[in-house]
Formats: sequence, structure tokens, C-alpha cells
Amino acid sequence: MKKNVGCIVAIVAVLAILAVWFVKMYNGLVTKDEAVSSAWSQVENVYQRRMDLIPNLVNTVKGAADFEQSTLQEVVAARAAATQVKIDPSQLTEENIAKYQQAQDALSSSLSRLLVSVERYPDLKATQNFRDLQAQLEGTENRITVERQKFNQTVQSFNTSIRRFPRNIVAGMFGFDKKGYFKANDGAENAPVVDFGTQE
Amino acid sequence: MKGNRTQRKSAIGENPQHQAYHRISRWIMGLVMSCGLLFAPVPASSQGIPSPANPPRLVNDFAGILDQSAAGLERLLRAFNDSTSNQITIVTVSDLGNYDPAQFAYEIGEQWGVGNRKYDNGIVILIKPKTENGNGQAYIAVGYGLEGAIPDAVCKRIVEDEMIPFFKQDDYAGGLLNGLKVILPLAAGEISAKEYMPSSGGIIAVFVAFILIVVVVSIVSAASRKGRGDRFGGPHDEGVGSGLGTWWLLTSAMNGGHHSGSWGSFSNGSGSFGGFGGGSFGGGGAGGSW
Repeated sequence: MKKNVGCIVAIVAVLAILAVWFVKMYNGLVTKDEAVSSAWSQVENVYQRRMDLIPNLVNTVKGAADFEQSTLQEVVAARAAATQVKIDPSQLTEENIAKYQQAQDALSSSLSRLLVSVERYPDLKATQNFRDLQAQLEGTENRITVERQKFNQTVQSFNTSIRRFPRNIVAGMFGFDKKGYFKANDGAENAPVVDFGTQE
Repeated sequence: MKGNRTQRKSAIGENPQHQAYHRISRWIMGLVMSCGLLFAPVPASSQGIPSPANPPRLVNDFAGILDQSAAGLERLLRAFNDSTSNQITIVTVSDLGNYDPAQFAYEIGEQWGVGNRKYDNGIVILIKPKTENGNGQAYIAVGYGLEGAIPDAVCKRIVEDEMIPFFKQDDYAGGLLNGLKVILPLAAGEISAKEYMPSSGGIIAVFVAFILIVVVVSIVSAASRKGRGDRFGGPHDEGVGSGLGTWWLLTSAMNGGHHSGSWGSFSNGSGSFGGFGGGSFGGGGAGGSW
């Protein structure tokens, strides 16, 4: 009899410890998941910041005599397309992120073509308004690089933790899925904007 | 540490009866070992980014271009850190490695943790002097918390209009001081980016306004204190507005710059620097080259 009671107490104690452990693991995953969401919102912020600069840039460039219209229209179209692609922060799958990145990269390359053609208009380049815009654009590109890097780090920490035993069991039970990364890109994003500032 | 461990282990090994004892002591050893790991120096995480000096300094003249002015700049920035908690660090390097200036300055800010963890109010001013085979580069990186006070376009103007003209003549300390003349009041919130932006004339107007305020306040406070001979109380007058702090720091520093050797008379910021506060950077800022 006495032995039985001891057994039950031991089992209850083990179960209680397991339950606490389980809750801790689950909460840890929730915290990491939230960190990814907040890193994502920072990424969206900086991309939005770039989109907000574009109308101002287009207007400034438009003022320059006979600036080629096709380049401008391309930027406007790419911006409109990029605005369409929005991701629900709970659906940060690889496909969704790839889609988002594709739209933003298209905008990046049309922007860089615009900035390359500005090189042919020294008067425009010399205006204070354009110089300020240039600084803001460069800063925004830097911010995009930084926030993407921070997002990837957060995702990596999340993905690692849901794949590790025994957390993978908890993750599987509650449907924590692997999240997507930003792929290092083929230079479309980072090259030109930084370049043209240092030329002269 | 290793020697310590074997020594203890052999001591315990002489008592074969106390197996539990053995296990516990090994566990404790493990704990001690991991504590040791915690305190071990952190290896430089990426090549090219220097680690902060020990004890930490705000002026890190790795390129050796500031000479004796470094001490004065250090005192100025410490005083500014003490009075506003904004941490501004100056870093000079002779080589940026494979980084571009923006990345380099960002990495320094992020890895050193310049600025307060809560407010992210750090600034990194990076200078790579011009050499025979490379352009000079200057970059101001701004922590998250100061991005609003010092936008990128303002950083660009500070670098191009206030600093580079001096740097071109190899007057690095002069250029830094001239840039700080704008950065300090901006970071302290004494002037806004808009006030600086229209032209550099704006800042002069603000300085003139400050001087006028000093004079007026001094006269008023002197008049209100009857029976004192000295009508224009000293610069330490309690009546002086709090916004004058930076102005006072700067004029002291600049006077020091003109008469070499008088840095010592600038006593405001002689306190020690407690180290960087873990601030974070988001890629804000701008730079230029010459």
C-alpha cells in the first residue's frame, strides 16, 4: 500500500515536470515565431520606405528636359506591381518570400536603370533636391540589406529550433512550419545605387 | 583551467567509495568550465572589423591621423555622452577590407553596440584617409533611435559640405569638429534637420540665436540679483537654458583647438567612459568620398 502511494506520487511528479517542460518548449517556439514576424514587419517597412521615395524621385527626374519616358514608366509600373505583392506574416513560406523578393527585385533593377540614365543629365544630378533623394535612396538600400539580413538570422534560429529533437515533436503538433529565407541575390539589388554616389 | 581540473579529479579519484560525490563534483566542474567559456575573449566575428579598444574609447584613431587632437575630441564626446546619453564614436581606419564604407560603419555600430540598448542612440563616424592608391572615405552611420533626428540627406550634407573640405587638406580633426558642430545639436534635439537643411546659414543663425539668449539671460539674471558687481555672470550661470549645453561644450572644444595645449582647461568631460551600451543600427546614414 505504502509502496503504491510512492509510485503514484513519483508518476505525478514526472508528469508535472513533463508538462512544465512541454509548456516551456511551446512558449519558446511562440516567442521565436513572434520574433520572425517582427523582423518581417521591419523588412516590409524598409521596402515601403523605398516605394514612398519613388514618386518624389520620378517627379524630380521628370522635370529634367526630355528625360526618356520609357525608363520612368518602367519604374512606375514596377512599383505598382511590387505594391500588389503583400504577405500575411503567418504565411512566410518559401514560395511567398520568393514571390515578394521577385517583385521587389524587379523594382530594384528598373530603379537602377533609371539611376544609370540620370548619369547622362549632369544638371539634374547637381541639383540639391536630387542629391538629397540620392542620399535617401542609398540609405534605404542599406536599410533593406540590413533588415533582410536580420530577418534571415531570425528565421534561421526559428527553423533550427523547430527541427531539433525534441522540439520538433511540439512543433509538429502545433503546426509550426519552416519559414522561407531571402536568397542572396544576383547583384540586381545592391549594385548600382551605391555605385553612382561615389562616382564623380 | 585545464590543470586545475586534472588536479581536482585525481584528488577525488583517491576516494573510490564516494561515487555520488564524484558525479556532483564533475557536474560542478562542468559548470565552472562553461563559466570559463563565458568569460573567454570573444573571437573577432568577422575579418576586417576591428574590436573596440579596451578600456573602451569613443575616439578610436586606428589610422593614426588625429594625433594630439584625439584626446580633446574624446573629452568632448564623453561630455556629450554624459549629458545626453547619445554615444558618438569616431573610428579611423587605413583599410576598409572588402567592405564598403556604409557596411563597415554599420558593422562597427552593431558589433560594438554603440548607443544605449533602450534608445539605440548611437552614431559612428568612420574615416578612411586618402592614400596614394585609394580615395578618402567618410561615413556617418546613425542608430535606429536617431534616424529621425539625423536623416540620411542631412548626413550626406554634413559629410560633403562640413567635413570633406577639411579632409581634403588633411585637417581631419578640423573636419570632424566642424561636422560635430552640426551633429551634436541635431542629436541633442536642439535644432531640427529642417533648420539645418536650407543652407549652412541656418546653423549660423541658430548659433547667433544661442549667443543672444546667453546675453539676454545673463543680463536678466544679473539684474535680478541685486548688489552684485558683475553684470554679465560667468558662463556657468544657472540661468542659462539647458539647450546651451552643447554650445558650451563645442565652444570650449573649439577654443582648445585653436590654442594647442589648452585642451586640459576643458574639464567638463574628464569623467571616465563606461563603455558602449548595446545600441542597434538599421543601416541609416550617408557618406562621401574625396
